[in-house]
Amino acid sequence: MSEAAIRDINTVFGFWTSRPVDVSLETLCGILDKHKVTRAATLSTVGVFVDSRRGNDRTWQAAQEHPQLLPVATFDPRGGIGCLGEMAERAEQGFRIFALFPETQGWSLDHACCAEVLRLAGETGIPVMAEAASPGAPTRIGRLAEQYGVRVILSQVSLRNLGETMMVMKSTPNVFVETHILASSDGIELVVDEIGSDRLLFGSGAPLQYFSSAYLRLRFADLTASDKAAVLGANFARLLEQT
Amino acid sequence: MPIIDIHAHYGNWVWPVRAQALDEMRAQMKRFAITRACVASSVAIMGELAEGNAAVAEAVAECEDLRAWCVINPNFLELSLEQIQKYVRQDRCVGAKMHAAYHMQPLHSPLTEQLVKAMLRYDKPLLVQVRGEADLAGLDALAAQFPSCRMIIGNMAGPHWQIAARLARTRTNLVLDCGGPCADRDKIAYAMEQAGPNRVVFGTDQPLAHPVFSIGAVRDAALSPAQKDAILQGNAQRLFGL
Repeated sequence: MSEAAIRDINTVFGFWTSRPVDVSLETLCGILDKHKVTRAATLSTVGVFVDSRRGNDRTWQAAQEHPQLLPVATFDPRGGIGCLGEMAERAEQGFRIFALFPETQGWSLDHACCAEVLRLAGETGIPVMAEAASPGAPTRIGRLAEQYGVRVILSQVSLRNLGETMMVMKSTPNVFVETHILASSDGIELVVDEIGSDRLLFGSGAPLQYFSSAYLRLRFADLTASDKAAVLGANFARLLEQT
Repeated sequence: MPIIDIHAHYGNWVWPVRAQALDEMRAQMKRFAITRACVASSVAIMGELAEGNAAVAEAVAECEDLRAWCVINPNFLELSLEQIQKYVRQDRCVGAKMHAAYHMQPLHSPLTEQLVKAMLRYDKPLLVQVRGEADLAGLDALAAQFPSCRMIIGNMAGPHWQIAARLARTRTNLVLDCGGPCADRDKIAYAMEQAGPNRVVFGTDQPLAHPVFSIGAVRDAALSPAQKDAILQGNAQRLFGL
């Protein structure tokens, strides 16, 4: 099989507060180069843990210095209404995707700001990637996605909530899933069989996660070459690179 | 590089994962150079101890490349003691497995003490799946009480792997199973750093995780080829006498 172009929807750089792991920009770029990743969506973890404005500035700067990086803007609803103003600025600046971290940051999807963030994202047409590790999270995010017409990428879906996620994907055509911990023996194949391959996006979680775990999972998936290429990169390109 | 998978499953699950027939499982093992897999019954883990353990025992009797874990559950003490007596003495049984997320009992209790005492006569390890920090503390206490019983921390306790690794540093009868669906990038090197070169083993958790998910993790780990080989097969060969 000739190698499909790899585009990775889920990477970060900076630091990770709860682990002494090297997730520097240099380390991220090294991993991407080693595995010949054509393009990677990424964000500075300063935006997740400390200050979204500073984080988004760093993300933008990193993308200017490293053209293979596609900048992701993140907003923290815990700060309240202020994040909404920044959303418009970042959309204007050229960010093509937003990300939310309700589980890492400890806020509920029922948070009033979350709805506003998704509503605004829907108006701009910019997709939003959101953590959805817990059972119930895919359903709640899916409802918001349907309500506001925003394309949502569910992150951290695992076997634990895969059944639920597939139901949400079936009923809500603007819900996508990234694959970094979709690790089960036939989870990816089940989604492709039931839903199709066009809403699955390869994510590695690098450099927080071993790149090869998610990548080999997809490389050895029991899929057609065309489905594999779609998940590995073509869906990313269609969602984020084509105007 | 041949691989020994110390932590796999056989049977159906409540999750959307297809139960593999034996020949499918073995074909997949062959595809990824897994020469031996130690399997526990999913049905037994979920509560039907006798039926599940019997099915696995029957499967491994036919297959040279498979070994069995005897699943035990402190909620069914007498039955578990019978299961230990029936299966753990068999050559193709590698030890006993407890899964705290299903049995929901403290890991250090009069019940688990009886189970471990029953295991001592066989000199085979216990594979323990924990839920979190409280279970790890219980396992540590159990390991301290029974220093001659090797206890393997299944999947290195998932997201709590840092705690699991630090326990293994001081408790020399604890062994770390470094596979499973948690692919944190610093996990495996940290396991080796804490537990040393001989007490980290490889388990896939399949079919709950695809074998290549864990194989990819070892591949990317910041370790030497010799260390990776020890994890993938050498340590398990020694631990199980394979």
